[in-house]
Amino acid sequence: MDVKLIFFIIYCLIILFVGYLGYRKTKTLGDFYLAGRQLNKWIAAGTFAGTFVSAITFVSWIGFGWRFGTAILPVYIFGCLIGYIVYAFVAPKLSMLADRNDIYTPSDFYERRFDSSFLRLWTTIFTIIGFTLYLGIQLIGTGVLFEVILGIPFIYGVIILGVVYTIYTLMGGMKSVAWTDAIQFSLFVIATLVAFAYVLPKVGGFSQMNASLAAIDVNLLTLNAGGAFKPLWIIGIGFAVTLVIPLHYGYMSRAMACKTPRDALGMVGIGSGILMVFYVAILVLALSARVLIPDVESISGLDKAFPTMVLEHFPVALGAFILVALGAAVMSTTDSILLQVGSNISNDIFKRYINKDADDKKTLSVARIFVIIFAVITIVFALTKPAALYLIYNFFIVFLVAPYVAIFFFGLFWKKATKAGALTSAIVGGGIGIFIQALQIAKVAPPSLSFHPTLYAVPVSVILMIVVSLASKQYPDEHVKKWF
Amino acid sequence: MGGFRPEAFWLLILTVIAGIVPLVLYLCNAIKPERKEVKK
Repeated sequence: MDVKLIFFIIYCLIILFVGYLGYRKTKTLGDFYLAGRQLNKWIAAGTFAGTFVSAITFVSWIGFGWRFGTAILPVYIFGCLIGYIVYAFVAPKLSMLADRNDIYTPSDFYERRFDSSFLRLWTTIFTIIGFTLYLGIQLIGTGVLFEVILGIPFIYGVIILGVVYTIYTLMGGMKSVAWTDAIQFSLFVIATLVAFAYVLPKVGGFSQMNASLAAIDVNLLTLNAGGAFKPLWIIGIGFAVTLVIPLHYGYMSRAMACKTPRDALGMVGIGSGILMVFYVAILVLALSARVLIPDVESISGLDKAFPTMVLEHFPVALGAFILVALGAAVMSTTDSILLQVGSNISNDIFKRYINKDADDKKTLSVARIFVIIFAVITIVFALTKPAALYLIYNFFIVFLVAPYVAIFFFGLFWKKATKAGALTSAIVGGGIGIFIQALQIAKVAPPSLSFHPTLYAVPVSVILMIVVSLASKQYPDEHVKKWF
Repeated sequence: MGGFRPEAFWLLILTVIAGIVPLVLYLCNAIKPERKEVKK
């Protein structure tokens, strides 16, 4: 049996055991959703950063950097790090409010902050659609990795990993997810740094790497792929990547799961510091991949650049370590999304609209059932194998950003934000985002609407929130006091 | 500049600084939301 496969099987068994330990500690619905709000900053940083880095990072981002060079910096990496700064200002307050008002999910927050059950439903629907796309592309990335590195068929790669993370998420909810994420995050950061340390001398250090890139195509050294990307296109994606960090339900839940607001700030600070180092390594891996595989026609797609480099240019033992690390990166993201959807459906739909009197035990069972259902749906979606993942990645963000920007930031920081303002901004923001996205997918968008949909949806929803809130009836003082 | 173009080099430096900012905010305890209520 392939040594890489043996490594990977052993790793999966270890992770399942850690997941089982989480199961033994999970007694209540609060444990399952939010680990009993007892996460310390270290575990929280591990699960926060582990959730953010995924198959997309290794497959699509490196593929993008391989194809377009240093343009990966403004398009993806810089936006992330700005997003962490934004989140640092938000996470402590979110942690404090969630504890004070006994909030379990982000949609809980939106409904109760604005006293609107419609807002709960609207935000839950957008999240579920966005996460279905997201989880699907994660699994596709996994399948590609397994296919190229291990040589096993795409379908088996998707199913093997899908089954492992579904089992431990199902068992222990946030406790299993947070503990396994922290381990997996440590593992893939180490592996990435080892890969960085191995590949940089191989391409002759920074100066030689850049000289080699210039010899292949001088545009690889530019921030806009030699003018191929318009500034607004780059800003649009960077803007969306920045915003998706504070608005992503998975990250919001991690702030809510922290023991104290200071732990929530520590989570972002520690996570961001480590991720910054990690992303510099990712940049170098992407650029080195192009030096080592200069011919764009030599592999069948951007998504195969990194796995091809590992397979053809790394020693077997390092390749095995990296494969395990990639599996870790995939599982530490997919488990969180799966848990989030299970939590949203059980808390925000089942308990809110279907069976209001359901006790915790029943709601927990429903959460677990939906974890399984959602896992099956996304595995089937992944098996359809849509084209280039980075394109889908750019689009799924619309679902996680467009309806939420105004209700999230104004809900947290503006006392005068009203229900009318929130509903208007969420509906119109979400609608504009989806409409422009649909025009772009159908390739009928005029040039003026050819940039990232969030670039249009966000300003409109913010303006509407302000104007409509000022023009509508304010909340009574006792409601405002709960949130400020 | 390691062979990077100046604009890429400086964006890389900005990226490194941006990554450290949240850590500095944490270490300085710079963001303190209103003290949360202790549940009975």
